[in-house]
Amino acid sequence: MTNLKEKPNPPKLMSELKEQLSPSFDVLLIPLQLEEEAAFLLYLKTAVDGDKLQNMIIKPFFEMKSMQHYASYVQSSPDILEIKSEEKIPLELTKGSVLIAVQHQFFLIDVKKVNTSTVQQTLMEPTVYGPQQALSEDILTNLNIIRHRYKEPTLKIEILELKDKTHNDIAIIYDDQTVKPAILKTIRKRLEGLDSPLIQSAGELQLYLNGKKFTLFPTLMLTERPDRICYNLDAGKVIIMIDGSPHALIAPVVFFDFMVSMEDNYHLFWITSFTLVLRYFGLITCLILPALYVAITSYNPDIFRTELALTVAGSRIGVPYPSFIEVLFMLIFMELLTEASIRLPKAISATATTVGGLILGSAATEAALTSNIMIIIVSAVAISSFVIPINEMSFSIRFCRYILLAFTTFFGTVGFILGFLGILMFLINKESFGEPYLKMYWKSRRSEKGVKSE
Amino acid sequence: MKRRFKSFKVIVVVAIYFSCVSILAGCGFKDIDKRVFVTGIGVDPSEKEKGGYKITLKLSLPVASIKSSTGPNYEYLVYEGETLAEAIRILETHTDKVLEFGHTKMIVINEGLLQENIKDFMDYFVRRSDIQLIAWVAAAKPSAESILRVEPAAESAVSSTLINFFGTSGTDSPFITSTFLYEFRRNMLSDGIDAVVPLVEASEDRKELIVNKSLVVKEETKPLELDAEESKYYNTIVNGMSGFSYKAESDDLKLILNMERTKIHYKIIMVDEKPTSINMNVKMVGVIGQSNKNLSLKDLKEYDQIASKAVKKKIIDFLTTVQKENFDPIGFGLRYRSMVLYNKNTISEWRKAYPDLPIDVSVDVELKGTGAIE
Amino acid sequence: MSRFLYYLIFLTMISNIVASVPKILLFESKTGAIPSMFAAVIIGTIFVFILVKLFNAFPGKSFPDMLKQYTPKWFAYPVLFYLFLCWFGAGLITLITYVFLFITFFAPETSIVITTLAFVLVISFGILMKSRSMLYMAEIVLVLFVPLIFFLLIKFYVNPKLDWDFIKIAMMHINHVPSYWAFGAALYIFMGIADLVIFNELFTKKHKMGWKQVLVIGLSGAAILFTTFFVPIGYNGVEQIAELTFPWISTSDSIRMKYGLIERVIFIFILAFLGIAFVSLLLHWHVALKLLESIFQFKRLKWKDKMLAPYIFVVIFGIISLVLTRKLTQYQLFSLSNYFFGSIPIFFVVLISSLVLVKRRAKL
Repeated sequence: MTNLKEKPNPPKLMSELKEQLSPSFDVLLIPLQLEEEAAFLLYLKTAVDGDKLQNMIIKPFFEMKSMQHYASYVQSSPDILEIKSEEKIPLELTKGSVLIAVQHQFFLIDVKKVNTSTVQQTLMEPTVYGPQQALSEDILTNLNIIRHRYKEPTLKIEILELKDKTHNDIAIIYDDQTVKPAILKTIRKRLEGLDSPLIQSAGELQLYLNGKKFTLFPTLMLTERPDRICYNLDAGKVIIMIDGSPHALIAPVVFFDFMVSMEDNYHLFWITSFTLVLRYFGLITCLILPALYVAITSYNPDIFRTELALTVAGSRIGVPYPSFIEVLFMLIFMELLTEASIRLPKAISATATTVGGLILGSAATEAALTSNIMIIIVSAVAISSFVIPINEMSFSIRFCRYILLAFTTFFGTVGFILGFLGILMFLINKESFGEPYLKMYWKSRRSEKGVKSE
Repeated sequence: MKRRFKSFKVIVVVAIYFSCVSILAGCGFKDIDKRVFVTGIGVDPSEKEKGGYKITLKLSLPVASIKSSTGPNYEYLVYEGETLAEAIRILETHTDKVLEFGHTKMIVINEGLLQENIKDFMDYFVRRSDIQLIAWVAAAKPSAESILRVEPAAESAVSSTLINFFGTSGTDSPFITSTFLYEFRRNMLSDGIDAVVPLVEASEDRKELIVNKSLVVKEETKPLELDAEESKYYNTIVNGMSGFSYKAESDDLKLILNMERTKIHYKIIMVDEKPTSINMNVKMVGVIGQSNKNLSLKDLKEYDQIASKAVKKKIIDFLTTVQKENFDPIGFGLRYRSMVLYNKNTISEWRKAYPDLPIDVSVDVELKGTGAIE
Repeated sequence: MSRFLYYLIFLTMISNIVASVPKILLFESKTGAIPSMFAAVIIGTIFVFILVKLFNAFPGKSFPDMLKQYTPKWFAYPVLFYLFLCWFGAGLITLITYVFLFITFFAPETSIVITTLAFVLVISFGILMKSRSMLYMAEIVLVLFVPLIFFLLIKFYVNPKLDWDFIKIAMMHINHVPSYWAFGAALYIFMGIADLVIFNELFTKKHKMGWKQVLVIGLSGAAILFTTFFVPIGYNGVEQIAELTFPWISTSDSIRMKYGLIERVIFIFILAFLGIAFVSLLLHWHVALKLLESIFQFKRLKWKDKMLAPYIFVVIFGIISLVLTRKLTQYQLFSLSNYFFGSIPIFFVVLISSLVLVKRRAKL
């Protein structure tokens, strides 16, 4: 009982900090005491790793011969953080550090507990061959993955801290040898200029980095694949990662980057070429087919062969609405179906697809609300829009086809072609961090995707 | 909030834009089921007025399901008028749908009309830009309407027998002359060549079509009818048609030859830029298709001789018949014109010379074999 | 030579078909079109050579800047305005001709205003783009459409129905004095190089212009003129060729793709040339806009830091073309294009002599 009386007083700084952080239940100020000598620990219980604290900080205290030894032990810990100013300490505490007071010295040691460091399976960009693991939600784990895959000393990682309320770390990763300094500068400038109150994911960061409010096509690429990251690092691009998000951002990107699946690197030449052609075919189909249907059935039925024209005319017998309403109606239902099956739990989404796709489709033709040909077109469009490897581009293209549809409905076949050229022009005029978004690259296949081909 | 407001403004602008545009646009919009496809046009002389025309339009009707429909579905519109344009304008009021001429593949003209004022009605087809210039032109006997109305039993839904005769997509025979509209116009209007069109006839029971004769058409002259045999020679010479069956006789040997390849060269021999004769070289390669005797492979050379002689005779016969009537379906006149520098008298000089020009033909038949048996 | 320079040249060469050049040449087919074409190929190639050489002296500079820097105002502004008129006219003729032929062959029911409006809407967005994007656009459209056009041309030539006798007859008309109008029309195909007046800004490297380049340009010009002139004759005969309003379009309807997805070549042909006409229009009007901007700089017309002048110009362009397509008759268009093509030799002379003047002054 006497010991209690001798309980030493914690340093003034610590009690002040505790005051500042209360009334949170998890603020702990613990004295460590062995005979005459004492040390103090201040930490947030929910932010730190208890085991680590016990093994790294508390145990050695009782094993050391003297306080001097303990102080130098703490000082040489690999997780030690520099105390820049007293104001920064509460922030570090909330991030999972422990403040140690030994012999009037203060040390800040990182013992944060991370529950999100498990590496996930690739979900959005699956490949048959190639790595199956994606990134985790912890930035250190992710950086570790990158370092592990890209063992060049020229690989540079810069860490910035967001100024918003999450205080998340942002990593800028690039290969010193291949990166374009101008692009790096723009990215740094944009990151420093961020003034949003809360940024929680890479997707959100991408919106703010775009530089424009209304954008249709992504100028940064979101990816979850470490191999894609390394591939792009090699091509001289800059990778941006944010803590707490299992996706990385790649900048700058050009249109063709969105049409590349990582699988292309793991297959034989002709197979890759074939799938690439297939993908572009899918892109075109998905973009133009609905508009083409309107152009041909309502403006220029003489383009078809006679037999086909008669069949199409026959299948439209009894359909009460003009072709563009028919197309719009079916397209919107298809979009609903796609949206529904994305948002629903996996177990139910299969049912939704079956009910929607099969039953709705056949019933709609049966009821003469749409023509058979229309059903074929809508399904072809739906399937081909999934061929685009990066989901964001797929969304943009899906949006574009409505613009094309509107243009065709108003202006006929000439509107169809001009609308297509207009979209092309829009893409060409667009820039991603100073790089032209769409242009012909004539160099070798590898550098085609890179920035360095300029 | 500011962001919200901005996007609202953009949406309003887009909405105004599209509503403006939609008010302006859309007048060419007509759905495919509101159109009816004219697949054939027939022109006959009018029975009521002199100098007028009787127009027959063959309309292909769409079928809801090809598999369940039994046969083709046609409708015919007939009207008599002073001019083609007028008659077709009136016919537009005979149906509830828009007449779509983009699929017109067949223009059938009564045989009797192909001598006077051909330009008069051909003008309409070319001037109307939505009628294909690759429509087939044919002459009809006894009347264009009756030919268009023939619906053979073998005809299936959404296809037309008459069209399949021409070109090489359906039947492929050297007896059938195929003439595109632009070709007909070009050859008819040019000096130095005369247009040739197929002559379509209907069988007695009006169930079948027969196309094996042709007409050589020249403005302001009665057309010359080529019979099946002559049509065959015409097609061989002009189009190098293959699959050409051919009879050669000598003493007691009768051979039927199947020609695979035919190559024809001709030129006009000139002295002082004046035509003196026509020289034609024919080279044929083929096999023996039928014989009344056993053949021997080593005698092929001999058969070549027999065949060459026979073919030569036939070709000279054909050319001189045509020449006698002062028709030039092959285009010897064109060849002449292409060999002399232009001056005003070129054409009249040729016209004067052509009827009496001697024609030299040399034929070289090369037989590759005797077929599956000797 | 930069590949983009070739694009500028080839695009104008190909686009002659939708700019009434064949109509004018064939109209003169019996009165000296052939010698004029010979003359145009030779003189045109020389012009291209001279222009590239002259612009080489000023890498990275646009013509308006050069002119303003080295010549007095009273000289610079009228020349620039004349050049603007030429480019605007070139674009306008392409636009109106294309709209006319589209209405005639493709969509007879659609109103002409709507079709023009479709063009004007997309074009106005297009010509406001950066000059660099314009070159990329030209490249992509060429890559997309030229293989198609090339394929069609092969089809035109291998078709047995192409009667070479007619072509030879047409060649027999060589014994005539060259016609000035036909010469102007044939010279149009070399006009593409003059786009350098603006695009020279983007070319900082000197262009290599040796025998090889001259040969490529001269031969392709000759080949294209040959095709433009003789293929329609081969399909439509000599006598009545001048009657056709759009000789090339009627010719393209003479080909049938028996097994093609689309049977009638005319549709593919018109659509492929829509792309070509569009880009050619885009380049012409972009140059016209930039020239106009260099003459009239309304510094006060600003809205939120954006110069309003280009937008106003574009609206004016659009209104002029909408009004003209409605008002012009086929014949007026023909004579308008005739006069325009007639002014092309003058245009080249003006451009070259002012460049020579600039070069002299710059050396002084």
